[in-house]
Amino acid sequence: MLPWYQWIILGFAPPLIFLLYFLKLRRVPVEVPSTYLWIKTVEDMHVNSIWQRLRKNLLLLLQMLTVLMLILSCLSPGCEGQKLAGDRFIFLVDKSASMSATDTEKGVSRLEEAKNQIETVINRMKASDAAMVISFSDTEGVDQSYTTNKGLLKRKVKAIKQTQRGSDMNRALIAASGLANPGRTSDKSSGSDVQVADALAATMYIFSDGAVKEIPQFFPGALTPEYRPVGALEPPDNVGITAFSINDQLDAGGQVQIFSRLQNSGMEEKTVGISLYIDNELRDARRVTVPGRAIPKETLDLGQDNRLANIEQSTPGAVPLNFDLTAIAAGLEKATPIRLKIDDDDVYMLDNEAYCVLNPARLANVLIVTDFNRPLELATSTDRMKKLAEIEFQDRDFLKEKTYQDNATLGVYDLIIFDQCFPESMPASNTVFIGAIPPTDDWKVTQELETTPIIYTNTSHPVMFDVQMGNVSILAGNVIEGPKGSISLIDSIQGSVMMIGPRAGFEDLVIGFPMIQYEENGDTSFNTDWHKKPGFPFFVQNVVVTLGSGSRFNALRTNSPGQPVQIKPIFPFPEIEVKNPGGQTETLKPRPDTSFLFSQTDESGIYEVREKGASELDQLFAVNLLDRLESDLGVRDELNLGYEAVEGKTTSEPARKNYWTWLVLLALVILSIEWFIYNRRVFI
Amino acid sequence: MSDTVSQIARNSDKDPLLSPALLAQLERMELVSRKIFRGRMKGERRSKRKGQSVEFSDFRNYVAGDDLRFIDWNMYARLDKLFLKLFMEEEDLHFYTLIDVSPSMQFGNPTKFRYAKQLAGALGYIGLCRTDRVKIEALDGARHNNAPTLRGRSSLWQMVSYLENLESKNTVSMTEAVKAFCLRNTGKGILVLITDLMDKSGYEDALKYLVARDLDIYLIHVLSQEEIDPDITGDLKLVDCEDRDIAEVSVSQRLIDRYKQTLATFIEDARDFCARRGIVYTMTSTERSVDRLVSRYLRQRGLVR
Repeated sequence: MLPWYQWIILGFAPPLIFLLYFLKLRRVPVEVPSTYLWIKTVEDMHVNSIWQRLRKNLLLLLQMLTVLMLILSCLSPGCEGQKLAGDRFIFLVDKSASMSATDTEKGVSRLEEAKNQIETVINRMKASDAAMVISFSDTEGVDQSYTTNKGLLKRKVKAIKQTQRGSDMNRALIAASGLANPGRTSDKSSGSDVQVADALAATMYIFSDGAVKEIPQFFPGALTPEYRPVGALEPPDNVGITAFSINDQLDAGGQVQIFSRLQNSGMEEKTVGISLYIDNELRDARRVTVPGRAIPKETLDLGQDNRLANIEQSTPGAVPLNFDLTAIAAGLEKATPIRLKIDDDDVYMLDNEAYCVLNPARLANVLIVTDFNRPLELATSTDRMKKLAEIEFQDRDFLKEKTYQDNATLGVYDLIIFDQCFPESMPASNTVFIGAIPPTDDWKVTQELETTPIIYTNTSHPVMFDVQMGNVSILAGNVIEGPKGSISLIDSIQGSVMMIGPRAGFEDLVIGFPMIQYEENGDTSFNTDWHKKPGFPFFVQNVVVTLGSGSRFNALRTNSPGQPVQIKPIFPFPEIEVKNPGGQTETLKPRPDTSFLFSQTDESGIYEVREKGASELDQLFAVNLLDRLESDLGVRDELNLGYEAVEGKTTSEPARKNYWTWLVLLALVILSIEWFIYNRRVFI
Repeated sequence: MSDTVSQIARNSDKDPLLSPALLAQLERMELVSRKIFRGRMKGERRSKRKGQSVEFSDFRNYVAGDDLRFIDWNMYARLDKLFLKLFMEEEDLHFYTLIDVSPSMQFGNPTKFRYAKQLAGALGYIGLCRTDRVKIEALDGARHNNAPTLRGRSSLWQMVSYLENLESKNTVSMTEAVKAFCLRNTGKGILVLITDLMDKSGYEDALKYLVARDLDIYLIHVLSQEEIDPDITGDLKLVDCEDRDIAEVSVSQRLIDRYKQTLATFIEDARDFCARRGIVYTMTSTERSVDRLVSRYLRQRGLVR
């Protein structure tokens, strides 16, 4: 709508045309014998001359009609319009994978439907209303900051692209509430607490299917959230793969198995065909029946617009599905892509395929430099350890040999454990120092300590999984301090006795106490009873798995779309190429630790890694969504934002039918008629 | 437009007013009056009055004082009674022609004015041939008119010269002009009024004056083709050539149709007005030739035979 002054200007147009029409009319003077008969012909011409002219002037009438149509179109007439409350709006658009489901009335994707609904709301905005657009999947992006430009808003909404990611609305909400709920700042010296900016109230429209993670901590403040659920009223039939992984060969007695899980978000059970492709060859096909939702439809309440309420309380039906790949894995020579596919199409196709990569077993290369450490020898000689790593024991003299120096420089070893010794320079691999510190300025011994109890063990670090240190005694040791970013794993009263710290892409684990005390007479005694505890073999295994890249040995864990993937090729290539499932290639340069970071993982599928220019494949990795929340297509009736439940409001927005385009069209038609009449003189 | 009109007028002016062929045709005709008027001089016209012509009319009894020269002595010898022999009186006829000289007559091809002169000349010649008293006057409203009263064939060239020298004058109300004519001329006879009737004050009063004079009136309504079927289009400012009155019109076919309708009504009104007052009305276009008008239309209407 136009501001008032523009309306006034517009209002002057018809009388102006009216006047101009008569002013501009240059009549050709023609002398006639007498105007007597002419005047008689238009007898009342002088009495009502203006109206007489108007009556005669079809062209003027047509012109006035054209202008009238244009003015009417400026009024943007429509029907069923509603006045929007407020003057600031935020459009939060869910672009997560589930929004690609095509279960809407028009058969378009939920995202398209959401875009249409937003456009309707934008059309209803007043000229002075401002709005911003934020789209989110598992990340958020402000597509358009506050603007009153409706055209720009529409363009930006239209430009939102579907992603294959999960959804996390938290950060989007933070971005949305940025202006509405400005933070406060406190000044320590004055003790005052001031609000940094005025809160600008806004209405926040959330266009989503509600398949978002819980948002426990959100305070709407000046925001008025309005949830517009997008999608079918009832959960559509959709069978999807929500889990797909290969087991740890070590744990399953040499068996290689694929575990997958099928989920049905529909109300009724459904039978689908499943195909398993190994290296793009069909190896297995089954018919699987997946049960429907746990709670029957009849027991669910109907919410607004006959949408099933509390759909989230009814969990989708699911069925596990396993495949044995032991025989295939045994003869495996190269990394092999595995693809599981649901053959029946449904409204949500992104979860109908899942991928993983089966790598041939490769042992970690571990060097242990020690003069004598029986507990370590015992801990590394288990069957499980033999399947994990190839372990080489050398004494400290080996550090001076050229073989070591070459291998250390080339990064041949995945992990080197220095037991009470240290190299001249740090090798290109992860290290563990036992009773010694790395020969760099970053690591320091701050204090020697006597017998001390352990007060804290950081079991959240992968190295310390299942490692109990509570009853471990340490006779003597050092309190150590690592470089910036180091994490203490074991704390004594005096300070940390075990730390892990970063070094240019590698990690160094330093244990401040030795396992074995060497006496001057050559005798040895134990400095700790840790080796007698069950936690020690776990610790060694964790070290080999975590620091020796043990996780690469079997099937790689799959990555989620959008997450960056660290690629460590077999050799430190100067450049690598990564080919995505769509066939596009990206060249990467190495990071200081010779690994590569690939972030363009937006697409699900198998990615190929090779040296730049080489044809030989280095490795494969898989990207899968595998998100139960996304595959559950039941549209939530309400959203829980913090402590507030926001009820979904009418999905089918009372569409404002705009007629102004028709009026403009009509004006053009009238103009054409006028042109025709004027040029052909059919009437005048 | 007015330039074009005057150009056409000049071109047509070059033609002789009355061609020899037309004159030859006119010599055989005579003007017919539906009324008998007393002429001042004897003419070649039999009058209702008994007079001194050679044509016998009737007898009547002699009363004292009658002219003895008209007694029929043969009858007296036979019947021994005095009878007087009555003869048809032969009289001359007053033939007036009034020509509208307003500027509106300057339109058409030939101009209505030229056409009026030709017609006046033709009718006048018929009168001259029959030794009627022919007087052609311009309707200019002048109190003193120098129009000659002509008689006899020999006056033809005088008449033609007078007509040729007749010029269009400033606009004068037709009523005023007719009134002035009536004051000047008291004689009875035939009057032919040649006009386009385009007088905004109306022609009715003028005709009433003439009717009051008990003249045998013929009204010849001359219109140019451009008045009968105007060929104009567009948004026009029509300027009246007489009073400079302006009529703004956007000419459309509808307007033209309506104009023609108005013209038809105008003609019909005039015809009706004339019929009710014993005036013989004839409408003619300048495109109709004068000899055709005279020999056919005016003959049909009884002005000539």
